[in-house]
Amino acid sequence: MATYEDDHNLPASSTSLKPVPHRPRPDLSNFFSSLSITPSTPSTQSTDPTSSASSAFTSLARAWQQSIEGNDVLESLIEQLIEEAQGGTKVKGVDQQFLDGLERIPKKELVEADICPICNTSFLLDQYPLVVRLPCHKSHVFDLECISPWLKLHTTCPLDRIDLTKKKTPPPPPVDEEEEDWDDNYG
Amino acid sequence: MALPKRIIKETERLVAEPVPGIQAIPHDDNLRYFDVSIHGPAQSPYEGGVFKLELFLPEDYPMTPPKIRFLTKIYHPNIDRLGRICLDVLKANWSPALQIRTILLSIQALLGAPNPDDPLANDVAQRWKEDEPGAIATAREWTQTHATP
Ligand SMILES: [Zn+2]
Ligand SMILES: [Zn+2]
Repeated sequence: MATYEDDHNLPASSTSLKPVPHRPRPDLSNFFSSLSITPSTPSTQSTDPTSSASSAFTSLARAWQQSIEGNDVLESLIEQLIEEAQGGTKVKGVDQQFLDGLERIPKKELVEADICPICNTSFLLDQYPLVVRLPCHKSHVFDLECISPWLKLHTTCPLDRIDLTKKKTPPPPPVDEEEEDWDDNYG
Repeated sequence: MALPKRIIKETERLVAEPVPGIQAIPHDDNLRYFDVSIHGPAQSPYEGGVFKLELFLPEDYPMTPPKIRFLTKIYHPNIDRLGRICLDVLKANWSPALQIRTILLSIQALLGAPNPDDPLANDVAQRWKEDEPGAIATAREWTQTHATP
């Protein structure tokens, strides 16, 4: 049987997912070196031509900014480039307060058959299960450890995709009361 | 680095209770990398074909979806020349409650129900809309040529 590479006339494994799990990004080193020989860009400005792609992004954006002011589309592109170079895209999940405020389920209410939908493991396999219920549905319960990384990046329930931030969330219980529950569970 | 328990459990279940018409076998040397084959659904232009795919579970799986694509050439409006698949659950609609099993079932369902209104392969989608019988005939031919063992 012909391989994928044969079929697509590609060098072997150049497009395989295995060695390159992420799509390669454009190499900006060429941009950078061409910038440093552009007369309008004083060479003293470029501190380290071999530094990260991030600084190449910044330099590229600045150079464009100097040469093509007045173009709205390009200006917004420049802003995007600078923003990305300075720390990437904004995170859109819930805050720690939301996570802290999720209803916690005491161990005594859990049965063997209750399984976390994310790790697919029975909550009770953990001697001290830390299980939370999402406000969307009473059966939507997860290990806090499993749901936290998801909710820090997304505001939706993994089971029904309901946006948890649109619903009015109950105010988190007073801190001392929560701590008391805690001590009971672990005492 | 240890393989998360979830991946081990998913793999065990895929082997112990395989989905009809779907096979997923992890590589011995990389348990995050699977050789997948999907049988074309009955009554679809892909019937009789066995389509090979590769599936990779990224480091942050299941917080991010598996990476998956067709290796076998296929004529389908939602699958491009490079085998990439246009499927919402592989992108914006991914959820960590989904599994390899459910994703592969979704792909099998996509073979049974091509959706030219949400195309990835634009030329194929256009033909699908303008000349559906012709497009289906081509899909059948490609299945014969490329996906018949
Ligand atoms: Zn879990
Ligand atoms: Zn829910």
